[in-house]
Amino acid sequence: MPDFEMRNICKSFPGVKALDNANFNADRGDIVALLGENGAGKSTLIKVLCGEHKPDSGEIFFEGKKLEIHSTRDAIQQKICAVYQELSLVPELTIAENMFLGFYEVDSLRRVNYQKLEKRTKELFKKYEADDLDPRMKVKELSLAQKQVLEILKALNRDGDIIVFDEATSALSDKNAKWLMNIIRRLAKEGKVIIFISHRLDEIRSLCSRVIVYRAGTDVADLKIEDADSDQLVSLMLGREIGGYYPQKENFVREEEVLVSLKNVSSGHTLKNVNLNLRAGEILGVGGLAGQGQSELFKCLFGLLPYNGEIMVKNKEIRMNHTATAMKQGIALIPEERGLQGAVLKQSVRENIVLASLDKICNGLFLSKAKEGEIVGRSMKALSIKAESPETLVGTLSGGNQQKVVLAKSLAMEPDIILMYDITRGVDVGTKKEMFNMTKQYAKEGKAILFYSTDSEELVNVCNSVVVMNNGMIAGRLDGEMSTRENIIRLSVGEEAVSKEENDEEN
Amino acid sequence: MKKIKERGFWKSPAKVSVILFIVVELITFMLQPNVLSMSWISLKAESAITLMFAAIGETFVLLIGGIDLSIAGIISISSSFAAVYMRDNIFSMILISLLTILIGTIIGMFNGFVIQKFKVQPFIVTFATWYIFGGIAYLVLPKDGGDVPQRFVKALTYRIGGTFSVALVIIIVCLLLWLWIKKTRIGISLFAVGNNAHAASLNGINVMRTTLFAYAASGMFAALCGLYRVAVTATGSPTAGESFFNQAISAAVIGGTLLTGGIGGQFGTIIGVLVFKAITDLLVFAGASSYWSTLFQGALLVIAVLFSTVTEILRERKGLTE
Amino acid sequence: MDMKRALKKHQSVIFCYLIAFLLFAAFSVYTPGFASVSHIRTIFVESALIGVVAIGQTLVIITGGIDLSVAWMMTLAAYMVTNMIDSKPESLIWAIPLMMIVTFTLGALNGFCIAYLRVPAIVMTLGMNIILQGALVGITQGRPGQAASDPLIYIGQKSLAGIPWLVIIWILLTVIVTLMLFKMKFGRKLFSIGNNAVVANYSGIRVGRTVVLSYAISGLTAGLAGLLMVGKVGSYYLAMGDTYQFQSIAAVAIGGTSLLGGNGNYLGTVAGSLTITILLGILVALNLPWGVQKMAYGLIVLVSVIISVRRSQKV
Repeated sequence: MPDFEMRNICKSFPGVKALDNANFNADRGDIVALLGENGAGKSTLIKVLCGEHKPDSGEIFFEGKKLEIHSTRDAIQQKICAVYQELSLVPELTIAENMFLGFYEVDSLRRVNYQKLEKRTKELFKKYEADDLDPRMKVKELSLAQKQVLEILKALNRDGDIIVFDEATSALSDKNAKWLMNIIRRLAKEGKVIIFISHRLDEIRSLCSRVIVYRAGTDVADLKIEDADSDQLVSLMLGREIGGYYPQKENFVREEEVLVSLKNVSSGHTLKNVNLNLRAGEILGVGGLAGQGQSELFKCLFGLLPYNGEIMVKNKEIRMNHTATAMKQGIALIPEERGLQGAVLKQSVRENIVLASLDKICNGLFLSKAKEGEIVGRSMKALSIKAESPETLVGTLSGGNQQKVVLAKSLAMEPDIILMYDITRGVDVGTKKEMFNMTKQYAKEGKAILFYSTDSEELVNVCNSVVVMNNGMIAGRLDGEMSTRENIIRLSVGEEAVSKEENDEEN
Repeated sequence: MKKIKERGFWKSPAKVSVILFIVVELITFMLQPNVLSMSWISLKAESAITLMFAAIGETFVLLIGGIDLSIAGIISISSSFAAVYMRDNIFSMILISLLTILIGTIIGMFNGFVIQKFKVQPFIVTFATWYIFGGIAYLVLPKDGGDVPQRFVKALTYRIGGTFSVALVIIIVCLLLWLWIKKTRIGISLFAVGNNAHAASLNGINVMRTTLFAYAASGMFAALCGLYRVAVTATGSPTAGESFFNQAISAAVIGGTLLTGGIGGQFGTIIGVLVFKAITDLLVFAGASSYWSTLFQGALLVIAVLFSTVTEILRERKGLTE
Repeated sequence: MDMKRALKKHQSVIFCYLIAFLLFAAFSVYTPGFASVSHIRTIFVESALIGVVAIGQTLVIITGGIDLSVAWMMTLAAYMVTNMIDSKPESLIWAIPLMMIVTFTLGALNGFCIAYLRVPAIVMTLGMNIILQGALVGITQGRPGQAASDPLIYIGQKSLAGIPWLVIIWILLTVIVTLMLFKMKFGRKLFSIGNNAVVANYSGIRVGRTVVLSYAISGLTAGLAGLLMVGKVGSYYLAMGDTYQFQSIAAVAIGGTSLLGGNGNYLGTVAGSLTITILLGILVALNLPWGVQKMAYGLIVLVSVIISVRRSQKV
């Protein structure tokens, strides 16, 4: 029996079965990678382990003892600690207050001893060789990378036996990422159980001894890292062989017809002097590591973020100050967070589909049931939305169908320019295939498509060209043959792209 | 040098209120040069103490990002209860006082429980309970009156050594109490929950317990406010609390506490109360008829809150365009 | 099938009318005279005032807000059509439009501070209520009010073919607001904002403007209610709108509109207004003290909120 085991965990949310008899196990001294697509159930599993969610059924064992975890506090007290991707720091508190949050030592008057707190924080920095920061500084004054280091130190400070690293390297520099790797190896040597979540296969390969793959809420494979080649892991995550489900690539680009053109667009620290042309019939990919300004680029184009510089639509300068302005120019956005930004979950499929095109379904002052019904019927058929009726609440549909409703809403506007932000996130394979086909169809009709994805494979297979963003700037544009996964990664980490021949020579 | 500016007074949310306080008091002294004396300060403390109780309670709730409208009802209940049941003997006075405070604490906790258990916006819950508690107050005491023992009145309005009022002592005690609570676990939890409740809960902070604490404190201080009001006015009233909610919010916001939670504190609130009172006094002194006082109160509330939200908006904008 | 679905969709509204009717029926048996024609007419007239105030309240609550300024907005309107002008009926020709503009603008100001300057709705509208109260108290220096002029009395007290004008106006407004909610773009925008303002914004809806408009309408309907009330009671007096602050919110809550926003129906609010009036009649007939009434309002709102939270958690 392994030292640590999660057995047959089930957890449902309204409309979604997030975990379906999921298992996980590890021994002390193991560094186990937990791999899976977005929505595969990784984060729900971690939330169950850390006491944030109560599982519907299932058991957790550590060293033969069954763990009873009813709250986050229970979990921490039973030596389960996590480095959270979204960070669990309180910005208004100081560094020292955050490091010991929830577990302060108090004196006889039940006061927190700040001197001791600050001293111990300094010791902690020293112990793990982290940059020395003033413990009395407020966390809100730190950079994202510094915050992530603190988040890591906070978890280490709790001296857990089971430590979860959830995308803990996403905001770290290379140097800090290496620092973290060394710490993790040290912890493993000390006999801790390490659960490592990352979507960077190279990291997993250099660090982990085993990898457990999740798909659709359950574990589908448990491999020794030596036995797992990358293609096999990806296909396990996706539940299919790589390739095959992307449509044949074709070029519908109308070279002369520039629909959108960005000139020196900047916004805050996150977007710097972006120049970009998007032509009719073009599917232009946007790649790069997460958080390099891609989201801000889309937001500027859709009037959600103030910017400096010029945005030209169909050769006219347009100041995008509201989503309505962008939509008037024929721009549609399929946003990142379907449930928070894309669809009103508590309203019906019908109401959602026409929400962005209310003008189209009006007869004078009043809404026309006939026009509405026509648009809704057409969209549901075109996208094959599986819902009992147009009156079904969107919140009760599956993830893929919810995403289709969001697509339908945008398409009902009959846009010329579609901004697609990670449209395949948490969507099943079949739906993905439909979406790629549709994207191609729109390009054929002469629409311009800006396509962001976290998955470089999608970018390579769906887009005509790919621009890669790094640190708020466009690091390079990859056309035709140059558009490969390797080159996307090279550009994302600040290297030069190489052509295929050069690449072969290198090998 | 930069570090000093980043911390301490200039970073404190209470700085605006402290400056305002100094300015307003300076004006007062210029208008009436000879007032500064111990008994004048005692008088100020006496006039501020009921509002201070209400505002301190409200600040606890604001810190966790909530709002408590029901303090109006709780103040009314405690005022009515104390006026009706208190008898003229030491034992009864102490017992009824303690009971009043206990009742306030329990019904405050009820607010917190409903809000956290059902995850409803605090303003709706406390809006409803405001009416419920207000109704109960009417049942206890249908109209202004009640029999308040003279000795109770005397005890709470006593001047130690002839000049030092009990109210001033209480204000100082409250301040010390806050300086202590701020450094305890629950004190830090208040800020953590108000600033980022999800992060707080991931770190094992019990959000339910913190919420209960904040609303219980709000209820307790509201009860203290009602009790003290009975002593100051020597009468109970089922509508005693009605104007306290907006004044308490005004004072807390003037004191630098944000309505969005996580920033602020009782030091600022106490100064905020003093500023609030000083401004009202100034208006009276400037000859404004008492008919206009309600207007000033409303305007002060809206202006104080607008000032605080607009400052936040500007700060955010600056962060975006920098 | 369609019938069944329609029934299901509107079950909460139908349920409201059922409650109103049952309360009425039960009490009619208990007290003879409760069900007389004149008493039924009184119930409708009283409900009309609550109902008109609750029009704006319903819209505002659907967006996820609340309007506590209706009480003194009513009183302000009543003041503007009586004390502010002489008792000549001709003066109403400019006083009424002016009153409508002022209440609409003040409501819009509420909305502006809430939508664009992020002042919490409860604080903003409560502050507005106090400011209006203070202004009116200050302007009138507590002097007694003036009698309403004849046209106002006519609207407030007379009937057309046995149906009081107040009720006719209420029915008209009900039709208009129901059309606005379910047959016009405005309604769609309100519901989506109340459910998820971010999605609404991403869908090209100008959220700020829509919210401002809903508060402005709330100011306007409160103003209209003030105008009708001054005609009904015959003269202006300070604090005349006070009870409507809570009654309008309770009517919306009883009517099945979720106080969390995003869901609701004015036809339910109509039933809510009737229920409150009947309940009030019962409390008065039973000679229960004012405290019980106040508690009843609070309990109604609390329970209805908890019910709507429970319901929304199911989705």
